Amino acid sequence: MKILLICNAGMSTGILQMKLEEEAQKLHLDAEVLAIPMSEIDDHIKDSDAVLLGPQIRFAYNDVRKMVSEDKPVMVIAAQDFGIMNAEKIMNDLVEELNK
Amino acid sequence: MEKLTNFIEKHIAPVANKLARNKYVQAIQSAFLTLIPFMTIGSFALIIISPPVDFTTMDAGILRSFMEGWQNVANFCDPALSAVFMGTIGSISLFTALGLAYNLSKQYKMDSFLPTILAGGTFIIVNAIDRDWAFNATYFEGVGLFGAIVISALTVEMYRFLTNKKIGAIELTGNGVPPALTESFKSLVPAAIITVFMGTLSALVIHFTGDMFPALIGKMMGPIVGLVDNVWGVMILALIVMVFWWFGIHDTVITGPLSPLLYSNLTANMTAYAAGTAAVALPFVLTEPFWFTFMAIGGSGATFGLAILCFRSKSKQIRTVGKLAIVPAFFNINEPLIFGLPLMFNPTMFVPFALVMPLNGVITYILMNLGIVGSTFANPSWNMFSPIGALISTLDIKAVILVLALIVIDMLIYLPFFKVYEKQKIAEEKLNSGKEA
Repeated sequence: MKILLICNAGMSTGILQMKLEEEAQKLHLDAEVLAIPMSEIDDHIKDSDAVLLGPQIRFAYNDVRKMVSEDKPVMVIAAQDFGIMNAEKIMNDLVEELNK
Repeated sequence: MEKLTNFIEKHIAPVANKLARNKYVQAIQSAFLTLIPFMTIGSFALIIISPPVDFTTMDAGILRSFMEGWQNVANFCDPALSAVFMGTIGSISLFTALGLAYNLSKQYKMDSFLPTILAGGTFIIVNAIDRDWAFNATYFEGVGLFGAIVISALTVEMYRFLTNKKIGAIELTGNGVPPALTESFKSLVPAAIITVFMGTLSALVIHFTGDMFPALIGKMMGPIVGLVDNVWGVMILALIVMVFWWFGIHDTVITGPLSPLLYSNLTANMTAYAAGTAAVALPFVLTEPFWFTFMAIGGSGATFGLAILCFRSKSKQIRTVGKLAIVPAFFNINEPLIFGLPLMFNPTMFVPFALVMPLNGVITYILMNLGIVGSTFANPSWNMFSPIGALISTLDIKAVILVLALIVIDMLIYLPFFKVYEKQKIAEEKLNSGKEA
């Protein structure tokens, strides 16, 4: 499974990326998390299974939603979860969304 | 409060989206992002071959010996590194034209090789051939940046239009025709139309204005640069950026469209410095490093000092955020503070969060404009720890002192508001632990 983690320059999400991968391992998910800047969405969006957006670019949600097929979840990370890097909560929310 | 939030999400966020996701803004941003290695290589080549002080004017001592040694290194490296400088920063407009064409055509999902090469061609036609039909490298430098951006975007748009409408598409049919040949024949007529159009455009501009196209665009951009590159412009831009951040919206909305201007000013400063202009007499103050090294110390909102305050806070919750925020703060990343403390939608912290960065801008602008502190002419990249970035970008020790002073000033302004917020949090924590017990 490939999860895209998008913020403006791919910098602040870099920290979260590692934590999310650790969290995925704990849940025994075979997941690769890729932190990318917004300008590289096009290159990666096709072969990804889920998209997480940093709260600072939540305004791009509608655009990104349109770029991925309906069955794949696109989620904006809650500000508080992003701020304290609550990878556990973010991953659980995502898994819940994936199982819907 | 909720009404305000709703208003922002409904009305401001879509505007932010339009600006930030604008295809030209994105393509230019990606182009600059890819050019960072070139900027860095050029910056360091320039620094090595240009000691900031002429050692012969100095008193004897260790500093003089150091500068004399530097001058010797500079003399030795100059033949090689001057060429490196000219081929990187000194040709930045050409690379921006190529990068923009590549990224824009990629966004259009076109095969990007031909449009990119074509943009290189139209760049030469319009930006490099002067009135005597001689090759002229003046507009390879930062001064040609705006012209390069216009021509490159126009090239891709024309190419896209012509190939979409299949104007002049020569279709080779038959089994034996190699696909590569089919592609190049398809683009032959569009490419011919575009290059001839650009040649005509350039000839007309030269005929009527006596100067080249990039000079004309530069003249047209002049008033806009002037509007922004002054104390008030910097203050107002910084204030808008911070209000956006207070709503938790990334500053790319402002800094994205602003970046060509910041880079154009920076590269103009670089070439001026390479030509021997003193750091205190450079043409522009507002540049990429001015913004990211001197204003946004620790991240947007100049939160470096605040990160230290959080790290040492008595509130458990704030300290947790502080621990997360302190290391990224050295690299000017502060999302943990903005979203974790949080600063976003935090009425207690609004005043310092919105005002500290504009204040840094105003102080730095005045000092640089008066020539008390050297202006920026090298690009340390936005995530370089500010005091070091200040030294690299100006080679002026006073700039380092300025940044350190700004960190202290920022911290002092944050302090009273932070104390109030901390008190609220500690009270909350006490209440909660009381409930649990």
